[in-house]
Amino acid sequence: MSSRILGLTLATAVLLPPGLALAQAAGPDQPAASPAASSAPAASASAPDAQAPTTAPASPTPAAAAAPAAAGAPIPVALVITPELKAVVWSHASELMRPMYLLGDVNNLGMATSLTLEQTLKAMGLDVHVVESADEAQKLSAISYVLTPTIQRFEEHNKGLTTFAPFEETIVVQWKVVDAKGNTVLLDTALATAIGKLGNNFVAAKHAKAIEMQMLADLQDKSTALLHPVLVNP
Amino acid sequence: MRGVISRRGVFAAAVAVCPAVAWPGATLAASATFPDFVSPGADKLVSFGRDDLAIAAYPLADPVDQKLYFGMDLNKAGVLPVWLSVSNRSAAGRFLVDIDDIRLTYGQAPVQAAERSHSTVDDTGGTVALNAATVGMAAGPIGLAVSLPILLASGNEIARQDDIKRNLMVRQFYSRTLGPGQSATGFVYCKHAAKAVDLRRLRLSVGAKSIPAPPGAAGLVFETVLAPEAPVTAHAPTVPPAPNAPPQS
Repeated sequence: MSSRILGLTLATAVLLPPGLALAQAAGPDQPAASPAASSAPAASASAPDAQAPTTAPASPTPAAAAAPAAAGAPIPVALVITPELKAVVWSHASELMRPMYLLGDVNNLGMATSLTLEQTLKAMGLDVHVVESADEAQKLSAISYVLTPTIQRFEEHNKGLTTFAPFEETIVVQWKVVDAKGNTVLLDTALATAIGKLGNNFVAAKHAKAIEMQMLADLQDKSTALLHPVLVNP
Repeated sequence: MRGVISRRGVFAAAVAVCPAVAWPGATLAASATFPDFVSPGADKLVSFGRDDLAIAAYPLADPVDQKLYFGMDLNKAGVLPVWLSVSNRSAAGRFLVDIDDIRLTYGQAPVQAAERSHSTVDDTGGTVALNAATVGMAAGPIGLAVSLPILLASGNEIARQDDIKRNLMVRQFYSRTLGPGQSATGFVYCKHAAKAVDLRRLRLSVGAKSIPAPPGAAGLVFETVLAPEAPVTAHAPTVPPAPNAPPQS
């Protein structure tokens, strides 16, 4: 009887790892922006009542919006990246207590986000000056706009109990745009998300990074759609 | 039995492993989905604002509705979701609605700035939520419920708990700039410690500014009681009223 139990135990030990690998291979690991959830809050708005027809924002498509500004001198803008934004991390736990998929630079969400936001503005053909505060931005000369992004929320959601279940990352960034006269010309929010699967411990960090990159790409598209009509085509 | 693993043992192990293989792909991947919230009828809405900026609110107090749209009875978690809709009905004007200018007050309790923090960029959100809870229904920290420790009892609901938290975040009302004809909807979450919320004592204040908004501009403030039968519509065109001030007609 004991030998049967031993056999069962060993067989389980031998068969389980390939089985889990098979389960991982069965599902798509490539992250993808969730169509339903990747819409900005603007797009998810519904009609408030029967008398108020909702008009979808006339935002350009990401491809069109990403086109550089019209020929001529690029519009100088100040991008306020505060130290608090750059310091945002997924987890404050020490590396020993952190899950495998949050080890390394993948944990530094704020740094990755700030680089993405700067790249977003450069892709729009703007002359970007990165500063750490609004006061510092005021000292710059010939700045047309001061842009202040703030991370409102960021969350990771596992849609199952294991790392083989769909894993979703979401970030909410609020944009505030002030013109040279100090008038606020835009205050809007971009909600970006991406979904993928982490997989086993050997690939989880790589997959988590890919999901984060996909989420930031979604953030870039959403931010461009918000900012382009104000900055490039006012 | 020949060798270490018997044929019966291999068979038994395969039977044990097969469900494990299928499990992550099937059972665990099935996440909860919640239906889109549909705007209630005009008779249920608390409408206020003005002609060119229509505002409507609907406190989602019914536990059945909360379970339908949020997956759980939020009343038990001390959270009252209030659906908010802001519509720009002007021909050319643009308005911005800042979530920092949306306030919830209960009775005579004042709004405290710390409780209105919506920052969850670090671990302080739980502390702020706790502070809000300790003062009862004093304040409505906008969006703060997203970071609340919503705990479901059974272990197999852990995944659903994640879905609920995500749903709270996605459905939240965020700052928006509204062009002509545009509208924004979403929920603001009122943290409370009371078991039963008296909507007649719950006041919602929504601030809006015309664009371009000069620095220091007071903007518009609209305030109402969140009881559908309450015929209160307040409008203070320039100066935000004090939290305890009675509504102006």
